[in-house]
Amino acid sequence: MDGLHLSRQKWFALVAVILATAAAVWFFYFRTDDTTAVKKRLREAVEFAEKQPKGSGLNLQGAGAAHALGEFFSTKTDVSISGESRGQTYTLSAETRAQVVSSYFMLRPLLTSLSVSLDEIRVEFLNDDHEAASVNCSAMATGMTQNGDFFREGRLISAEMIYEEGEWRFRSLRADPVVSFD
Amino acid sequence: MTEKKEEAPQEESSTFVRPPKKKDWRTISIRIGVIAGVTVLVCLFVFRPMVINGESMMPTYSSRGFTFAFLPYFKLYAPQRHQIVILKHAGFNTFLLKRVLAFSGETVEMRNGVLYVNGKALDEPYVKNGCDWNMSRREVPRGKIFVLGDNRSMPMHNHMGGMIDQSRLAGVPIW
Repeated sequence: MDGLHLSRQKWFALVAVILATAAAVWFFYFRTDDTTAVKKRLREAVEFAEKQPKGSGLNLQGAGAAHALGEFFSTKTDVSISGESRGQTYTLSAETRAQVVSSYFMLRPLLTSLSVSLDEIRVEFLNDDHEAASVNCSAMATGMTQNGDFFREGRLISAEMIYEEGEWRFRSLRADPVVSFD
Repeated sequence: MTEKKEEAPQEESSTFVRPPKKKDWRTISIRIGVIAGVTVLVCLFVFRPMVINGESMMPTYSSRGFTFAFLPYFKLYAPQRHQIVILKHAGFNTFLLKRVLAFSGETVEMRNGVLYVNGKALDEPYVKNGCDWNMSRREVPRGKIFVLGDNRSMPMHNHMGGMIDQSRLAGVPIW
């Protein structure tokens, strides 16, 4: 017990050192930095966009997924996904969160399954406050249409995300084919 | 003296048959580890093994095959016309095997299956399956290259080819 008999100043110093150590541990090991938060949010969005082959036949699941996916977009957004299907070029576009929800709700039943993997993710913050970020990555989408056609498409994703209502949301999103004739 | 001479060969033979000592196992393990580590690094960054899957480069490459990609190639050399290259598709596990046909700033056009680069028909002896593809004249944008596969027997919209970022050049197949 004699060993614990410290002066008041020493107690303060000891507590300060313990607090500083705990803060350092939290900062370096447990704190989620903004880049990680953006990447995590991106991956979460992809999880909601995916479709498992053994999904329910009811479209309720699709409605839920579409609504959840919509939450990843800002109320005013700019989505453009272009591609080719059966010789026709197409562009899916949406300018509001509601349009994203309805577009995805209509697209989802056309697919039996959809899985997306993201790679080469690069995040650059557009201001010092880290409230807006430019995100670029490559995505590989594989799945099957209701017609039984298997597809495997590589896309380059370029997006702008903003921190809004306590979450990172897409202000714009483009997904262009990695290789195309245009 | 005679006794010593007789003992010597016995010692030699016994060293041959004895099981490895602890120290030897450690040495062997370290050597195996180093060899495995070097092999993994070489396979990841220098000669990456690739399984060829698809018909777009037939008959130059069969639909099922195997090769190694020499990854540092484009750090040393620029791509050449008609060269077969490996391109990053998306991520680090799927690549495209294509032939470079035009560079940024050049114009490309297809008329009845013949590719015209800067208005001149390109001689492509490696294309064995004729096609009737048509594509209006367009310029290869800055930072991109124009690539196609050798097999053009399918409809054009089913062929994965066209403009691609030059930064996606990953390497060349070694055979």
